Amino acid sequence: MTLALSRFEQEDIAAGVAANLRSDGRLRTDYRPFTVESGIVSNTSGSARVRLGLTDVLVGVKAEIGEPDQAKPTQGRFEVTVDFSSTSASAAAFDDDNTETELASAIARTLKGVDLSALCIVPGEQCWVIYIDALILVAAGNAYDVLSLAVRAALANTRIPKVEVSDDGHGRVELEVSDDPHHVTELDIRAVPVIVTLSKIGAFHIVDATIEEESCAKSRVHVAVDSKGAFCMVTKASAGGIEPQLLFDALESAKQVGQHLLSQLEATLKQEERALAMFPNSQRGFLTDLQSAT
Amino acid sequence: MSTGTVSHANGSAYLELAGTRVMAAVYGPRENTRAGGLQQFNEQAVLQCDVARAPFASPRDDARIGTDANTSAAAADRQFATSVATALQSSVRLEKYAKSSIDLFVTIIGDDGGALAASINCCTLALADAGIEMNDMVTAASVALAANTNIVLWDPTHLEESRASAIATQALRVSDNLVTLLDQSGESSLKLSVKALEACSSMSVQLHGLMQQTLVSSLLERRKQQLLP
Repeated sequence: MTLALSRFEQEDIAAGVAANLRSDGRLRTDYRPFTVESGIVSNTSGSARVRLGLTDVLVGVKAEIGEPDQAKPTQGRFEVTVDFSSTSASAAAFDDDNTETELASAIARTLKGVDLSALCIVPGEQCWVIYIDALILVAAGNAYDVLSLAVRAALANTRIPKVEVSDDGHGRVELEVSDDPHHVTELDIRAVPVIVTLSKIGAFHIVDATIEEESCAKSRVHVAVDSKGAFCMVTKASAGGIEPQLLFDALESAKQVGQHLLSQLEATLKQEERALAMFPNSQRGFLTDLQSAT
Repeated sequence: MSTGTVSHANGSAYLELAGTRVMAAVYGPRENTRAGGLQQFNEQAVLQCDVARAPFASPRDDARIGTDANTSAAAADRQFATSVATALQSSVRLEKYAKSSIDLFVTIIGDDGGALAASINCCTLALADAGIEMNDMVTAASVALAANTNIVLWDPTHLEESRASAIATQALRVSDNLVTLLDQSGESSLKLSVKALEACSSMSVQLHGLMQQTLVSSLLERRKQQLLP
């Protein structure tokens, strides 16, 4: 996901970062506004679409009954897949086949700390498996952050049917899954973090890099921050070095930006919920932009 | 630590830290024969890394039951290999070896904690043994973090890793003090993370000296053998 930039473009971006005034007028630690729409894919347990700049990510969550992880028999589990839509970016994006698996494993790692004991149905035998399938519709920079926001929003939107477990008297267990749309449980997503990606340009780091800025970043650090401000994952994925002191500063700003992002996401979701309660038949989904434009 | 353990490789090294035993071999610089490698012209060498984990490498508790566990283990190995390559990439002078690939093969014989750091160190030694130009030797170290007591454990064992709230691994290019790889999984606070990374850095500096000594003594050894066959 990089562009080929000329030396002059790169110097221009670096000079902007050094002066704490980026090409779109932001400061180094300013985040662009993002939009969230949740519950927009009908045959899922939960879904969300997050747009930040031109980057556009759709996440669908499906809950299915399956077997728990042998190492954690009393917990449910997550399965994460990430796909780039074939229209997501220019051909330049295809130079790295690893990106999809890297994104998926990063998301899976950030979810490791989440307590899933509520998803256990029969310990060691049956549990809810939460399939998180992300589709990157447009990749135009900062995919990690947008993906993690979309995952959190989709999990917040996820409703899991209640299950009645009964013993048939012969030691066999029968499960009855409720089909009442109101007889559902929500996921406890308080421990789900967001990823803040910091890109090093020159001697400084910036958050929420555009694709141009990403293309001239020397190295990138992904930090997963939860609502308490604790780090759930820190990883530096790209080549190129970073000075320890700059790294510490970066971690500090990741903590602030991450907490801010989480509260912003929370507020956006609440606002959406309220709007839906007031206007249940309002236009939502993929054609709303077109309709409001015409 | 020792170098030159695999005779037919361009360079190789073996590293042992109690129960953690890692072997690395470097093949190259050689013609890039991987898929797509021949079609496109590369001004820089490509650094590739493969990791194989012996089936008996880790203790039994990460059970290998079912196909699910195996596929996720394979994914973890790929991630591991990418991390090793990332750590070393910025140090190897890839621009010196146009059109070629440098292939690193890591075998983890035993994993008693800190396998990633050990693999990176072992690869660095193997690269140096192969005579591949580097800006500096990258050294890596890992720590285990305990969130409730604010303790940072240096070079943890597998048991300590499994009980810690977080594990951090950092690779450092010692001469110009640049972090080339950073990887922390598990929960920790800002303060604790910073403390952990500082601990990793000071371990890296110590390791750097040790690795230099190993290289020098292996060279001296080799010269002696050549003079007195």
